[in-house]
Amino acid sequence: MAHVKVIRRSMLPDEWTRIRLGWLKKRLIAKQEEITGWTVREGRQTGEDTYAMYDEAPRPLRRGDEYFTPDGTAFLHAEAEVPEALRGEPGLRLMLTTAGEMLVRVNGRLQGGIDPNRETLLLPPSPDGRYVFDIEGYNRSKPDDDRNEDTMRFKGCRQVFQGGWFAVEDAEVSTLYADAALFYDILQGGEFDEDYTALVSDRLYHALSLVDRDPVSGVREAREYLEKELYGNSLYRGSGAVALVAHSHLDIAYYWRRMHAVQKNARTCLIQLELMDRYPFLKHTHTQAFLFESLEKYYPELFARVAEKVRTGQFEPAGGMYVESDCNVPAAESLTRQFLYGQLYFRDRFGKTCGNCWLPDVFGTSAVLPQILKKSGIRYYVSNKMSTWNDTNRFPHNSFIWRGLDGSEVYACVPPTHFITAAAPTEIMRNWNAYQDKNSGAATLCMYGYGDGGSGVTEEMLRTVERLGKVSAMPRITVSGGQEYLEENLNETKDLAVWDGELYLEMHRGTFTTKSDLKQQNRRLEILLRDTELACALRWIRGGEYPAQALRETWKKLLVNQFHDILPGSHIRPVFEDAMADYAEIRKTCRELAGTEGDTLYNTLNFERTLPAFVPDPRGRTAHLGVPGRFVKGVMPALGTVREEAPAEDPGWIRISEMPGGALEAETDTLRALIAPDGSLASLKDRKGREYTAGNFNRLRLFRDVPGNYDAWDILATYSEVELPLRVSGPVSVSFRDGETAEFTCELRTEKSRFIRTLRFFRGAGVIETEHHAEWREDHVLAKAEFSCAVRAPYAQCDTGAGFIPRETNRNTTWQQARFEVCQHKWCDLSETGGGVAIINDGKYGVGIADGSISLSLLRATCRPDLLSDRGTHDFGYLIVPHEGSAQAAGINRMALEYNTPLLRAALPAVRLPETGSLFLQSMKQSEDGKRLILRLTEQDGCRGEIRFPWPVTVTNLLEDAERETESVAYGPFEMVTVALEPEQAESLLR
Amino acid sequence: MELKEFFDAEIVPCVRADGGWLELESEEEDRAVLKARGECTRCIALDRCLRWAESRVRQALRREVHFTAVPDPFLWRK
Repeated sequence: MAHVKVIRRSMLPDEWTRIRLGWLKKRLIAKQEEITGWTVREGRQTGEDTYAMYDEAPRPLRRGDEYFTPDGTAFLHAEAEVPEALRGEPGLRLMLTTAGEMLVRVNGRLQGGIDPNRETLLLPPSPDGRYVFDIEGYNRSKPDDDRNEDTMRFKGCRQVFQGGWFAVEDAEVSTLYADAALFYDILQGGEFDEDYTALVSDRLYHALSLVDRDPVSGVREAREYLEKELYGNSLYRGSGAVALVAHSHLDIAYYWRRMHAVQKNARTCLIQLELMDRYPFLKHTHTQAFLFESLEKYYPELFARVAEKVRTGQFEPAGGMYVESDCNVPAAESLTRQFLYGQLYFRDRFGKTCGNCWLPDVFGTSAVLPQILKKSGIRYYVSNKMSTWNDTNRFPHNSFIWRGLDGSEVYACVPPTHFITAAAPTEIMRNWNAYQDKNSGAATLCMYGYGDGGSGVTEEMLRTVERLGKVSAMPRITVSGGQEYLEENLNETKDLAVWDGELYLEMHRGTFTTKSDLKQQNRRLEILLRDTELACALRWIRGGEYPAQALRETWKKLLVNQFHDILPGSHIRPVFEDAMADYAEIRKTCRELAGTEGDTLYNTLNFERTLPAFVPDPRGRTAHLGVPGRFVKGVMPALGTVREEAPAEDPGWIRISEMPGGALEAETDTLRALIAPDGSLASLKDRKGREYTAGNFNRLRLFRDVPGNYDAWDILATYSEVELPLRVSGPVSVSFRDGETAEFTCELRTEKSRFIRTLRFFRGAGVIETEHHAEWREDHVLAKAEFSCAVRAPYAQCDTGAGFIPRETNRNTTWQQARFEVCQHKWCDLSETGGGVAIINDGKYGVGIADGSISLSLLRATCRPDLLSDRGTHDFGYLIVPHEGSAQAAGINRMALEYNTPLLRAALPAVRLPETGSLFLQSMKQSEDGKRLILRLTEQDGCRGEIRFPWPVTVTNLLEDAERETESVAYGPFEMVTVALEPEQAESLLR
Repeated sequence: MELKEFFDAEIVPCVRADGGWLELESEEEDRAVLKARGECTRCIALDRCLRWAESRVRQALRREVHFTAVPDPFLWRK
């Protein structure tokens, strides 16, 4: 029978409740009087505390006038006397409705903030009734994350001034509104028991029916009714336990530049400080040493107030990191420095070592982190994204033990809900209902407060929190600090499950690839900084000065740019430009500090090199990635000066034949390759005739890449469904050949873009380098290099930068299916028992691995948030390494370190380290106290062993705290070992 | 200074720094057509922003120009 849906036209009780709640909201202010005489002066911020002004002098600003400009700062000023009608009224406020973000000084003192989430500010008493207002306002807010619908209509670069007012709240209406809003949330949220919701619906309707407007009446009666009927109801009992932790996540750069985060942070701190005075139960958890540092520098008065609240325990420095870094792409040493510089700052300023790593917004986390946390004084890890962003699988835990690559374990908390909530009953109940570890006995964590300059919790949220304990149907609520929650709920908690390995976020897979220049530069600078420190340390041991401060500042500059919306590429254009400018400065500083001059070449690696190493040289016969130079061969000892061999002259080491269809065959003593016109390899055999290809191998492929709103962040699983044509405009030919190298070049084109591919063979080395010069002008296209290997490998190995992780190559379950694009560092490898293929890259982190195929992500062309993302010229390369045995037996990790670490042009003493086996000398530096030499070595091949020093050395944690003295340092697979040597011990290592 | 030169130097960087994107497509006498991309395609204040750009042109170039913007949402791009 046909069914006709009935459209109800009469009002439901809940609709009346909503409308009456709206009436109440409009009557929260009992009295208001306009402040006239505002002036505004506008300009653009040029630095953290510098501005280029548009107006020479302030201009009058009247209600209805336009103000704010794109990327602008508006300085508002008014002097006013409290009108007669408001004199003596308690709780006098400044009221100003805006979608901007305003830092407000009252009578010269930083008093509070106004922003989209709060439109009033409590004024201090003024004996003479006069106030001077100075406001620093920005129009920035996140385009995709607005949570206050009321201010949406004002949003934009150019806003309309709504006027500034003296205002006094109606205390009775405010109280009723807070009560009614809380129950209305329960009514609407759908998280509470059906019968209880029905009760709330009925009682709230009746309560608000008692209220009339114009004039307002019945408020007290309504409150008393709610008190008796709903707060007084104890028939419905909630279960569970939820801890509320106030937090305001702040992206250091995103839709704003780093310099703008200074004001966002200051306003957030100021607002929370003010609220703490009035709501003593409020504790605010605040992360990122960089933000504290900037507060100290630009707002010292505010910093002093924060320090006082840290002392009393209401303001909690947390996280331990310098910034909330991306945790996929940065090297292990970078992550280490995040904690070293973060924790040392917190110790120095507040006498505290953070016990937790607080990363609510990070895009998944590498398996190397637990070890770094444990060795940085941290036992707890917190991150929200795994629970709420995964697009395929539900991450199975919220409270658990996280085991890292080396076996280190930390307690982990992945709260079930978003890190921005309003502490509304529905959000809290949703958190508890979704909490998967109820039976562990640990309460669940619910963060509350607006983020990203939304400046944390609001007064409305605190009024809600005050009431939660009176609602019988709520879980047990505790208001807690971050560390307090973790220690009380996770520490020593039995029955927590163990999650072993990386925390892979099933989302944001594009961030391994987006803005490839940032990734490539970051990789190069991580290595350059390592080498610079090493050079400085060696000179210091020999009596030279160690530029500790300059190195620390340079590291910090790199670390800031590893923030999780900078290095991943998810930001607006100016953020990219800032990062690239920083990178240029870092490079310049490193070159000055390392003293890179002369013709002496030094191998900074702690093992002898075997691959030819490229050295820039204007007189060089060849070029690498567009830079003229030569490939150096010879004796390149560990931590020693290179003894270069004269290059061979006979080009007969490689035999080249023309084959049908425009292909070329190249045969050397180690390899035999059939190179197709597009630079792919139709065949690749070793000297034993073992074939390594099984289809597309080293083939460049382009795919339509349209992930939607989160363009820069995501790649869809279906990306490979639409492949785009790539034409061979210049078939492969021999472009260079001498006694050491031979190069084969081809050109590929689309309608808009061009690739020049160069395949390079080396005499005596069984590797092929493929270099790309890309002129990239696509929109929404993903470029990949595909390698279908004749290898039956159920697992691939992916480098993490500090050891490798196995990754399944099947697509059996949704867990493997979701990992269609994963993160690697310098290499990945597919091997069966007899051998396999490794691909070693120079800054490409995204890779797809399925069955016997590796697809290396090269370039994207995303349009949001940056329309120019990745467009332009790129030069990058990778090594194809067919090998016998496992990746470890073939020395793939060492090759990858060689490929990525240039020889240093410097005259430095040779170093004779004890036998370090498969450990990589990750860092050689002066200790932070300036007294000792720090060596940090990381086991990279999954081996166990010991380093025997000729004298007792001090083993330290990553914060350089002494742990024990020993001559023999035992290490396990993937372990990071840090030792501190006395200067005379260090001296004895030099030759 | 030409309008395009001024627009690219003074207006474009400001708009980009707020997540917006404007490109001057064409100009004819006192009218100029812009392509609005990025967050400008869905901004409720775009018209006000264009009037501000006009005032900047008036102030710097002593010239009256009327800007209109044609949206070019990012998802449409190929």
